[in-house]
Amino acid sequence: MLKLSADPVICRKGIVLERLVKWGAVSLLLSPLVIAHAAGLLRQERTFDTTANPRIVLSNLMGQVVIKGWDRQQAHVIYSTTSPLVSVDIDQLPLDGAAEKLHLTTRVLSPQATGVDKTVSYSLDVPMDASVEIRNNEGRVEIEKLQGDALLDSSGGAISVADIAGRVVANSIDGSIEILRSTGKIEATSICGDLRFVGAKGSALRAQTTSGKIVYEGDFMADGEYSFRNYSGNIDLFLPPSASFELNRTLVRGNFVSDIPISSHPRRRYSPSGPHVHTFLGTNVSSTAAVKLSSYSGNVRIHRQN
Amino acid sequence: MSEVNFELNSARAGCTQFDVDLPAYLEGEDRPGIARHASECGFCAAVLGDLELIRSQSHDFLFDDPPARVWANVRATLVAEGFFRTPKVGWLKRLPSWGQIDWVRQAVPLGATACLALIAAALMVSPGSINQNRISQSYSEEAAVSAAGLPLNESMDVDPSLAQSVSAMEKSYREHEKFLDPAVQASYRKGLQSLDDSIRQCRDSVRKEPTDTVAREYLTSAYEQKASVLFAALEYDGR
Repeated sequence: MLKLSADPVICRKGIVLERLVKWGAVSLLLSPLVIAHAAGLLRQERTFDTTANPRIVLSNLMGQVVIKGWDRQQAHVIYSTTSPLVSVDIDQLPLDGAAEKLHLTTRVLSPQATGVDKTVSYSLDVPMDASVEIRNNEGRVEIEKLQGDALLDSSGGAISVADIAGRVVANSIDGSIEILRSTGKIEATSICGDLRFVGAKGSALRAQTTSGKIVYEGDFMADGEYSFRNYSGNIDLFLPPSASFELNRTLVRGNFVSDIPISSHPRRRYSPSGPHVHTFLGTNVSSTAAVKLSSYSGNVRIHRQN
Repeated sequence: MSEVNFELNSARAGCTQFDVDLPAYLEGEDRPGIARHASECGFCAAVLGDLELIRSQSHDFLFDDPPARVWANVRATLVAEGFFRTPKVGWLKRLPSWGQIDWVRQAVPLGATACLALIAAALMVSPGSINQNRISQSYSEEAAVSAAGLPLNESMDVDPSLAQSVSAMEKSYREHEKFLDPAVQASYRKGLQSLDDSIRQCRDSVRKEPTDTVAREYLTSAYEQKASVLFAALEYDGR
């Protein structure tokens, strides 16, 4: 607050100055919004009533997508665009009442839009039992705490999934895929991306990459079926010493090292042939889980998990 | 002469009845005349044999599910094409005029779908039956370049139909690549490069040692993955 003088001229100047300061402060506060609007930055927020297990389908071009399960029968959608050259269409089915399906689609409104213009970030809270189908070409995808299935597709963005009870199918070209504490079946496929699995509790896991690495941490489920296959990356399994599994591995040029003793037994199945193919069938403890390891030129190592 | 005509007419009548009964027979109904006529008429026997073969192979096809990615891509294409969208307001305004439709870009996903269907069909048929059924194949000069950049006759280590389809898709991709965002383009290029490297190495291994089933398996797998990546790239139109 300015100190006002008894002189009327000075007093008036003081009042004007005080008003200028006030307006300046207000302008400063509003300036980010004005700049954001001018730059096309827009944050929208919408809430939809849904059934207990809606299907959420999201198709995005670039930007981060985060989806979390919560205990409400509602879908809370927040999205941010960076340019007026893109828009987001949200369609619900049925049109009235609780939504059984929710489609969110990023649309490019102008061919002039460049990569940055096309960026839209999404953050969704959805019912726990929801299933999701996400396609995000470039940008990270994070899914957490869902009971339903998750079908995820990306070109170059990383995919991270945690605490999913349903089936997880994740595909990428160049992005890494990380799946933590999933209790459903898992299928993860990438071309160049690394694959990492921690604490998987599902009955089946299939991991395939061409040049990426594969890392598995945790025990195998009884009667579970696990397949790890790549072309040139390494495969590392971190297992507890008590892990019970039957190992069927096929390596062509890579090496195999195991910190856990595995006793071999006579081959009972089809054996691939080739001049440099090294196949092995063995068990540790007993043969409850079936583990298939295949690599053409990558190394495979089974580590003892402490 | 009249006896000949009588036999001819009788045979034609048998063939006509065969044609009438055939659909029901293939559906599993009891039609003893089908087998009897097939044993007498070579032409109808050949038709029956072909249909039985198609039926048995299509039966196998139903049990051999394509990868989930294929369904995801097909679905994504349909979604992208607006099949699942429910217009809320102003749907009439969303309809493009004839001049606004980009026919070339609309045709690319459809072409890709067709190529993938060809690949799927090729994979369902065993190599042996392909060789038996193949009468002749003529490749255009444009298509005679394999996915890994080698002449097609040098990429016979995999099913030629698969190699040809991948080659055609790659040609479309090269034309379509300029429509991709640089970041997306870089991802696809990196992926395709990685697959080409594995294709090249596996092919060399197969050539050196034709009995190397693992290398052959990896080679086929790399081609399938490449088809999948190309399909995804072709359906991407940045909308």
